[in-house]
Amino acid sequence: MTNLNQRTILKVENLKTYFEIDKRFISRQKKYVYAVDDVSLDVKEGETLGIVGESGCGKSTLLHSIMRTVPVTSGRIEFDGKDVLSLNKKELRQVRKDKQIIFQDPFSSLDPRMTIGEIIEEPLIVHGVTDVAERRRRVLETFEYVELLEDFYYRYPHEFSGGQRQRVSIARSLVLKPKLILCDEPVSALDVSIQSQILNLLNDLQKQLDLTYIFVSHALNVIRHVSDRVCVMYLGKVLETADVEELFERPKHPYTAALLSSIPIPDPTVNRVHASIKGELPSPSNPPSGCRFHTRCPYVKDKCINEEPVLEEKSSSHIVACHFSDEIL
Amino acid sequence: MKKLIKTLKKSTATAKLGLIITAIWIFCAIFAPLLAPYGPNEVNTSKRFIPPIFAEKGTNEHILGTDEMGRDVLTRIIYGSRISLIVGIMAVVVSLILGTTLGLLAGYYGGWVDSIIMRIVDVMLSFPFIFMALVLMAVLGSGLTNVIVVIGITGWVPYARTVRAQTLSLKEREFITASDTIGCNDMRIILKHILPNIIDSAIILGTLEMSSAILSEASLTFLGMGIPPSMATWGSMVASGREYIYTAWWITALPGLAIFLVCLAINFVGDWVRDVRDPRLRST
Repeated sequence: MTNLNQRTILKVENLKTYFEIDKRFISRQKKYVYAVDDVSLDVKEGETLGIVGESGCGKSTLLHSIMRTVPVTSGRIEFDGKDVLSLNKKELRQVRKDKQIIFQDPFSSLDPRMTIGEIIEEPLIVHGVTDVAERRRRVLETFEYVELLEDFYYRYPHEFSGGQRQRVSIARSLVLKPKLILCDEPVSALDVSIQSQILNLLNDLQKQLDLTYIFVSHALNVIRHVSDRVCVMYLGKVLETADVEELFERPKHPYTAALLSSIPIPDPTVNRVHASIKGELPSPSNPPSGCRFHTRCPYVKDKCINEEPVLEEKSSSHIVACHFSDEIL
Repeated sequence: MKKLIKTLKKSTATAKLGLIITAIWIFCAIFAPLLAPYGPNEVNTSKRFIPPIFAEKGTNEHILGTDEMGRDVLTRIIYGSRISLIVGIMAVVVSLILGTTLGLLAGYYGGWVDSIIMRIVDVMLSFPFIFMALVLMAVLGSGLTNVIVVIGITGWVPYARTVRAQTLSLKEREFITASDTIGCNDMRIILKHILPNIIDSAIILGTLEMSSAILSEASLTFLGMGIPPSMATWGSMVASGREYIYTAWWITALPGLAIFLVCLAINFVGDWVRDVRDPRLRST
């Protein structure tokens, strides 16, 4: 759990990532997709920050912006005391050593032409570990961490199942001994039974290796299982951030409340009240005025349409962006 | 070596056929002077238009007959295999390297690099090959090396287009992003991750193009701008026999058959190479 003594390892301030679309020749009017729009967040060393939201809310783009694999429009990302956005290619490579990413789809994240051993070894080659025996030792050490057998060294990705491939992917990101691992829906492409194995593996690794995670998912039960703190995103904005139990027990934003009420409860006798969300997710290239959620909020008032709510601290480390959160929930 | 024999044993019948024909072809090219019964330019005017042994009035002396100047057709086909082998391989290598490099650059970097390369491709495509080749041959002069250079630098377009398209689709795969995040530079991503994944289709294309390179050499030679007439080539044999096709079909048909068999064999071998190179089909 978070406490004030922990060091902040990653600090994101007013991050904006817009993608340009529809470059019309005549009108010359540029349109943008506001994938990540003014997001600020802190990640403390050793914690797991969960980021949850619907498809298209910008959670993956946020991760890729932190990783700098997509061009960031504006803002500031401070990782381990370094300003990530001002680094040149060479410096960026050094910083990325401490900051790795696990991808969603284990079927497209491994090079089909390389053996498992080569895939996991590559980060070491790139970062100048020239001694072959040393490289092999570290690869096998990583194999142990993720519970892969030594025989897999010379085998190809296509010979493995999704869960094993995801282990390989985790191993690749671990081999450089990073401090922060960004998990981009690492289990959503896997069977439920495999999901729990991978989640437990990630949990064990965190304890063993003092890792910090940012864990993106649309699955609330997964988020609840892995996170210390949770951040709810909607249309490129953060609506609510709180400790995991606090958020799941006492949500303060109507969107979070609606999301939570959609989790199925395995008990047929419980009479459930659905706080339903009406309509579709609005287009991120033409977001609603005022509060982004006002088009679908059951408690919408005039103020919500005209004025954008700012993130306010309601109780200790519980931050909400809603004008009327105290009255509604 | 053991591994190679094992792979060969497992290959399909067409692959075996292709490999056998290719092997014979290469063997003939290397040992032409030992295999050929006569000299390639041995003219004997008293023995013109002798039909091959399996046709009416054929003789043992000239198994595949003689041409309009009394030269032995078998000898000339054997010697011609040298030219087709050299031109086929070298021209394909030149255009494969050129096309793959440009295609990789265009696909990986995109933007203005892509625009410039693809506009050059458009220009190349809008010129008839034979016109471009003739102009270049006129500038460079005839000769074996120049034929290779000209066929090579006019033939890179299909490679560039295929490679670019494949690079574009690979670039979107997560393992390319992953190699970026683990710290690979552009050079390493292109050479270690993209190239191995696209090279097979370039090689398959190369085998197909090898036959067209052999045919291009024949066309240029036919038009008098290719290989000098002192060298026996399949193309010049087909061309010179054209006038006598109704009375002496073997002068054109037999070198034509050689071109056909070799091109077919190359394609079979190309398929085999692809199968062997694909790790999904490789045995463990």
